Amino acid sequence: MTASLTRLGVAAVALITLLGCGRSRTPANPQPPPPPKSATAHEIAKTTIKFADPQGRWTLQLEADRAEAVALRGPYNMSPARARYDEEGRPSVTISAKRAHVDEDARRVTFEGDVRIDSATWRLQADRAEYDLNTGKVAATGHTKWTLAEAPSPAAQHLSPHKDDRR
Amino acid sequence: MRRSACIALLGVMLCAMIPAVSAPAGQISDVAFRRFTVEGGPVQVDIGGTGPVEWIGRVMVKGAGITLTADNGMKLWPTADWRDAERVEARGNVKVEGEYVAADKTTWSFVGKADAASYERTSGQGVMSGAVSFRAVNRITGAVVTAAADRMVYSFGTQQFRFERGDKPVHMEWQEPAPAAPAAPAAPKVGAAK
Repeated sequence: MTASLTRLGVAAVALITLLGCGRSRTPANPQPPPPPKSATAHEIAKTTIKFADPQGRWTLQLEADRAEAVALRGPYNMSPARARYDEEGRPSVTISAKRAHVDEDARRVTFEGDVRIDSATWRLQADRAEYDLNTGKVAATGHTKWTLAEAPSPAAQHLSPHKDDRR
Repeated sequence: MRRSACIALLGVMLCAMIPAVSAPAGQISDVAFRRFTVEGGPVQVDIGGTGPVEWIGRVMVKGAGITLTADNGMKLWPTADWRDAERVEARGNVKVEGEYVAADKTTWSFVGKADAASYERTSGQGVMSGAVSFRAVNRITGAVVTAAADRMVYSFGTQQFRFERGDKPVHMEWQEPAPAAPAAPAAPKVGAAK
């Protein structure tokens, strides 16, 4: 009798242990399940993407605090975006914008929102600018403002956006 | 004196299109023109080359108190160091307006219009072409100078200009303001004399 009671007690403890006890496992404020993410979406913090001319004449380096990509190869959506164009024998050109869309397959980088392109002697401000990686040309649209100034722009020395507003 | 002031005015009109006015080619003689802005719509810049900066559509150039507008875009070929313009071309209803202080210290307001305008650094020449009209008003005396031609060429080296109108004579007018009417004698004040 005692033995059977003991076995019953052990079985009860095991059952309680298996099922759990104490607070309910159901959350107090049940949240709806998060929307399913695209299976191929990637979010990357502090991203740097670098393009280089095969002949080694120029480089274009992009940085962003946050980037999203549908695949490892891109295209990438970067925000806020900063870029720097370097070419031997020429002053650096920096670009800053609220967002950048990098499409390597299309060989194109599109900057949007408060776009500012700075060189040592000139500055271009635009609503939108598209940089063609094949031709090296920037096509800016929306309202544009181009300034030629004698003084070198310190903004061309670093990648941080919108820090130099002296012009 | 007046004629020289007029000549200088015409020179200034062309200066508006130019970032640096150089007396001898290749030298920067007037840094006042080295800062200017171009506002407009679409623009293309070849940041990796020496290709022109090209604006499409209406542009407005501001600098040194002078404003230039053009309806059909502008092209600017930079020098190799991007510190100056090798050549500038503006097209379509080009209009230049501003204010100029002449050598005799008189201030002139001026408006120049043409179908197109260009500047070339190596030749040191500015050209306005196609239905060129120019009007300047002396802000102090009220004197008005007007000119009409097909083409106007200004040399920054010699500071001379030339109006051309094919075989036709160039139309130019100088208008002095009408002399002011003599002041009416002051009415005697009642009780002024005692």
